[in-house]
Amino acid sequence: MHDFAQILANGLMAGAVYGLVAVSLALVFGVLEIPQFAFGAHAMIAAYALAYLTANEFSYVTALVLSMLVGMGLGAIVQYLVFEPLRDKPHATLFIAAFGLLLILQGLALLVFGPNPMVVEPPIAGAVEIMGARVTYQRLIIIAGVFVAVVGLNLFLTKTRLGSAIRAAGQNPFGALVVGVSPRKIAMLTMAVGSGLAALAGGLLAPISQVYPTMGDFLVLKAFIIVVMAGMGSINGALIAGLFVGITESFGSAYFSPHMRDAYSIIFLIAVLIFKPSGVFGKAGRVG
Amino acid sequence: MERKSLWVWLIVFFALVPLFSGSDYHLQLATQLLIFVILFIGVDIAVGHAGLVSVAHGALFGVGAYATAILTVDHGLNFWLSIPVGIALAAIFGLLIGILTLKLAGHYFVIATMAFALLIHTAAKNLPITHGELGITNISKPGVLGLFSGNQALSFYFLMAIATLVVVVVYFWLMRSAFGRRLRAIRDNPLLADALGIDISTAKLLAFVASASIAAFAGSFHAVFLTYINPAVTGYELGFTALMALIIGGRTTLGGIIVGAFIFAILPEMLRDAEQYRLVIMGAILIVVVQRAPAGIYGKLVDWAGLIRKRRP
Repeated sequence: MHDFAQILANGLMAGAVYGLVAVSLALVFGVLEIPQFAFGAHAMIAAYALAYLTANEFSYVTALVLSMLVGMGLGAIVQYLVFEPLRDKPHATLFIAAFGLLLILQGLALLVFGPNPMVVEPPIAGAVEIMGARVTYQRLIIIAGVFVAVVGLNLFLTKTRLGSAIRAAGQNPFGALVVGVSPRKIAMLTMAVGSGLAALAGGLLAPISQVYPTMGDFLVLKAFIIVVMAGMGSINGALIAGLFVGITESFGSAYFSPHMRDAYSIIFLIAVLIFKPSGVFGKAGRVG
Repeated sequence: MERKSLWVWLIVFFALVPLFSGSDYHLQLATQLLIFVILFIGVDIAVGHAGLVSVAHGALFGVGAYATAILTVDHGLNFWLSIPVGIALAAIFGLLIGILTLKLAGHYFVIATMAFALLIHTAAKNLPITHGELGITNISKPGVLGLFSGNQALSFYFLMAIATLVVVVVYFWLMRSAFGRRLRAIRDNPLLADALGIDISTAKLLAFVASASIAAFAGSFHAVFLTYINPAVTGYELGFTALMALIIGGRTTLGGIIVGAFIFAILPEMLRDAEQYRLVIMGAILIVVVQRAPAGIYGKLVDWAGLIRKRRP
């Protein structure tokens, strides 16, 4: 029974991080139709920013907020420089551009920080025991941070004018243009918000993982699978599917084989593709 | 597709490569280039002609490589007999992947193919038959090379050149046939193609299976070329590389495929001295080319050549 709680806690933690990256992808994917393969690298850049700031006497929370701002700025810049010129180009070119961006960001990280990983000390050391499971405070911070971020995103998208504009542009870009929503500005805003969420994932993960140039690769692969599993345009669905994948991997690793970890999510993806190709939470609208 | 003179130029060029550079290192680079050309031709049938943007072909290439490695090393089968087995296996995988993913639209198709590539990669890392992470060593070169005394690297290069020529001929024959025209019709206007009575799903599935088979064919040669393979050969990086090479080089043209193979087989070697800048340079090339030359570098070259020709009196 203790094992069960422990495995569940581990799965929840991993799933929350997967879910957050998947949410950021689902937002950018749903509104802009850009497969932002480089979001893992955005998370990595934010983690480096956080590592740099905490090493220079900033508190973890301040550094986390600042690294999210770095992520948002990075998102706005890459939208302007990389993806805006590719508006209305074929799908494949967007994939290639995103992959090129990934290589550039990893290359820059390697040039600036070198190949040796950086370490971030957890802000609160130690662990609590919950129903027999030993959970470090950093893991609780991760789960809390993810839920706050996703609730915040929901409020932003439904309660604010800017959020409504993003949803409008996602549902009908032409109609949004007609009522005076600038597609360029909305695209930059959406990419900035998505990138900020990816950056948060990187910043939350930094204290329990190490910080190195390819740290985001596995995250983004998983997140893409989760987005397809959840279905078109479902942001909260992406979080739920992310939690599901995290828990599945945790239990699969414990009871079947830890080596087949990467296969579990794909097996579920295949099942989804067979029985409900539009995704578990897929619907006609794109974002909402 | 392209002018006939290109053929003559290419055959002359690849026949003369050994004269330019006698060293084994250069011959091996040229051999690697030809293996990539075969793989990219396979991917081009799906990506370029049928518009099916797949990143699963790296893994299907790995299926061919593993089929040859397992059959020749563990079961003592002849290399040439292992090739059809690899092709058949990849065709079955291609069929399964195709059935499950072809109904997905746009990006979702790409991501689903990536997921299957990851599944094949996980299997290669863990199954006893593939020897797990260790991979398979001591894969011997095809016996036919023993007939030619002298430089083994040179013989293998020419063997590869002949295999490439065969694939190129098949590629042109297939893509200039009614089947190839149907694929491009579906790619450019699926509604019209449907209205004309083209069986869209069957044509797409056949294209996917054909491209999977060619990728596996390349993989079989890759295994004997390296004499050693491990799960990295099924990694998603290779699938992305193939896709990038096609987009950067230029889709549906042999010239574009060769330019792409140059960029991904030769350029990384040339950038060896600038190792720390390699990622940034490759990334920048990718972004600049997709922004400035949507038809790829070869397409741009053809455009420029056309401009020069027009200016002549």
